[in-house]
Amino acid sequence: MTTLETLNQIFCMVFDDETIQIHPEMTANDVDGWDSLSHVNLITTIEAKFGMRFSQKELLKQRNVGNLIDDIERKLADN
Amino acid sequence: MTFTSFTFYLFLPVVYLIFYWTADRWRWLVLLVASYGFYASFKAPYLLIVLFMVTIISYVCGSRIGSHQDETGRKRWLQIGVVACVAILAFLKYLPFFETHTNTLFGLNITLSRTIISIGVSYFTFQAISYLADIYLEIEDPEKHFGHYALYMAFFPKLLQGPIERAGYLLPQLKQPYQFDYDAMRSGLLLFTWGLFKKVVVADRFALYADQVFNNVHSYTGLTLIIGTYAYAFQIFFDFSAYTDMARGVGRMFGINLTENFNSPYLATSIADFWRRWHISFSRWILDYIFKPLQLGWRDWGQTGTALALLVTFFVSGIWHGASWGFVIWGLLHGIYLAASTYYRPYQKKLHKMFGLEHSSWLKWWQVLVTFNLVSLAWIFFRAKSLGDAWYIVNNIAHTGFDYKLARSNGIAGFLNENLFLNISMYDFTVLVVVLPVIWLLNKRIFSVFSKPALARWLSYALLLAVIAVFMCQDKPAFVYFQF
Amino acid sequence: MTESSKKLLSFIAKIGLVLILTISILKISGELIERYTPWQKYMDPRERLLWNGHYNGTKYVLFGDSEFSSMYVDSPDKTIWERFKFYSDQDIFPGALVGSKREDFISAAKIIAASWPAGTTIFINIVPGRFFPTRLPQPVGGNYDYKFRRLILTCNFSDDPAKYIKNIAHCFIGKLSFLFKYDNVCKNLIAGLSTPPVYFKINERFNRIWNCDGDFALNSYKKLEENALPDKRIKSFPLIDQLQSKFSGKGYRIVFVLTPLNRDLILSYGSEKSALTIFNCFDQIHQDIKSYLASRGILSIDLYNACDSECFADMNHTNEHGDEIVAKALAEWIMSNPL
Repeated sequence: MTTLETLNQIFCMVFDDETIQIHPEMTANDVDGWDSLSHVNLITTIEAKFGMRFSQKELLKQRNVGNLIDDIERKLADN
Repeated sequence: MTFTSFTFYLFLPVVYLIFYWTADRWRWLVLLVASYGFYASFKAPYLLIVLFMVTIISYVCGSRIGSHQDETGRKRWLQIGVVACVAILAFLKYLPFFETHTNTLFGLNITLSRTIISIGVSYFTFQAISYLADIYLEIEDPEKHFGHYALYMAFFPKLLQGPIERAGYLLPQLKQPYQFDYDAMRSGLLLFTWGLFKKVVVADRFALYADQVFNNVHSYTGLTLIIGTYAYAFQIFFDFSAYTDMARGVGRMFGINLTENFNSPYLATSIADFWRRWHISFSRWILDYIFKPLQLGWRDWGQTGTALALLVTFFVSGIWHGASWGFVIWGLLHGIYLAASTYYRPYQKKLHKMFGLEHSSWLKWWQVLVTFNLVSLAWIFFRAKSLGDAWYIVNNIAHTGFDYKLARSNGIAGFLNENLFLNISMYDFTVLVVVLPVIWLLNKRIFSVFSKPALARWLSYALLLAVIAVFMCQDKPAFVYFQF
Repeated sequence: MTESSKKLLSFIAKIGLVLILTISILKISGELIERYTPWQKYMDPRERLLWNGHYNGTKYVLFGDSEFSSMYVDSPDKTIWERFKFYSDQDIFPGALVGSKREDFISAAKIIAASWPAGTTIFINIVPGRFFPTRLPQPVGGNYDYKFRRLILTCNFSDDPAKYIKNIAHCFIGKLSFLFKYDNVCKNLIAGLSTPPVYFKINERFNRIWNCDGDFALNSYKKLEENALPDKRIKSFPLIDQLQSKFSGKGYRIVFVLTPLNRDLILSYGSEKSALTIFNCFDQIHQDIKSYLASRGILSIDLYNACDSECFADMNHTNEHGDEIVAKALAEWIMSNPL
């Protein structure tokens, strides 16, 4: 599975919504219920699933799903 | 000079005309000088020095952060900048607090801080910190043009009470060449006048009721305390949103759009929602620069991490407003409201789903009512002159024990007058009762007047001005958010 | 002229137009309210000089301060002016203002002099305490400056240029619309529709006797006693001269009324040694004023000893009983001194 597909699965799980289809330009405003509380759940789930740890700075710089994917892929590539 | 001073109405046209007739490349200088002049009108030279210092420090630190590629270098300059700004802010704001404690400790009698004011400092220091943080996070590039940066900090419409503007939003606008836009001019002027109307006709009137109760808490009990609290809730809303309208209106005339600060905050359905609607520029600031870093830093602690982050964030919010326990408790209350909701929200959602209430409008109005009352409860601590007073109010708000003997001697009318109308003239009550529905209907669509025929438009403007002139409240309290 | 300059000028012109419209709305609504509403019903009868100081046909005017304002009566028909009408069958204009200071006297005189015709008799009261020497600082400006300034010029340019210019601005505002001319017209009218304002028998101002309720009269006396400087008696009375000059050349008949002193109060509340000194000081001042007036050929009515103990609410001010006596005295005077 591609990063995008795995990530999509995580989104569906965290937001309890099977219909979500993520794309790089998507932001918190586009997903119902994606507020700061669920955001942190999203991040911890991603970190657990992909076995990685984001830095504070990386997290604060992420503006949309595209940034998230880039960070994940970069970290996967580093390992 | 404030937006309601007579001198401002001489200042504004003069500044505008000079601005208009200056060549485009020097317009920023006109605004900068005007802004410093505006600040100077408070006759407190140290304020100008503080503004300039914060500007210089953040400008230099910003460019240092930008010039370093290494993480440690960048972080160091960020820390230097932030600590310097916070130190300056803390010094000005908490000097009186420390002074009283030093005096009692050492038996001294220093009165330096009695004359110190700190209007605007809280706002522009936070703005400077956001600039530095955005550069560090590589969201923004450091501003090279010092003049533009200085104007970004000092721009007079937002200097005294915000909105707190992000570099990415305001700086590009300041750099744009100015084009005379007829529509911007008239919508700006109308917005300004509308704000003026809300301030002098409505906010100042609510202040009469709020002041009467909060300045004499022990004379009142029960329902009267509730009325006083609600009156303050409305006073502070109208006061601050009026100021923001006036600031945005003036900004518009110079071709600058400042951010909205309010979005019907008392229609919020939860405290979280409230903070998305109240003092928006400030709550986004604490969200982005305090809450998010903390929450993400503590994400391993799950919900507790979030709750803790909320408490700290709103504690900071409290002390930003001032060095008194009242403000701290106000902040902590909101922190507690939000922290608690992180725990019960999922259950609450399930409950609503179970009863099929999700989209019910009854539920929505119930939530609005509960939220408004939670917010008003917190306002008690914000406004009360002392913790003792606040505690008295909270304890007595449920009492219905009026002084019956007194009530009998004054008769029903006298009783109502004393406890419901707080001995304030029926005139003020009548004005509020008539004006509030008008504002409710018009507040979000004042610009629809532009689509009406010319005569109707001009009559509307004239009527608004006439109403302001005749019904402005004669006792004039200052803008509430000045003190922060 | 560039395109945008034209637009700017048209914008400024339209602002001017809106301002003119605003002024018209204010002026017209002011006129309508003045003519077609019973606003006068809701105004304070003791400030009549300020909201209706125009000549209304009466031949007599009450002028001065609180003593002539009937502060301590319970209803309008117990006021000096209503009792005067009862005894003399003549109307008298209630032109006195509670708490008048020297500057207020002068401003009030300007208003009377502006419209009252020759032959009017003006009764000016002098309370015993007016010229009593004390160490209390004399504040600047009158108590009613903020109301007078919308009607007349209360000072000279040379005395206080800033105040003078503000005064002119205020007169301009007052002329702009009836709504701005008199204090609280709109407020009283709107409030009055549901709760008519009460001007009698409120707070401390009701028919009372000085020694019958607590410390009311005692406190004000004590303040006088603490600050009295009975040795510093003055021999000239500039206020009398100023009023003379303001009213000169108008053909008015000026009569100074020396209002009663509550001797019993001083003897009862005064401390052993000071009571007598203060007493004598008052008497001496009274004599000085009388001779001053006599030497200048100014008419006067001496009511200094006209009232006994139960006529007073405090040291200087008469209650209903006392006002009755004062009104009667004035009525008798005009009947024995026709013009």
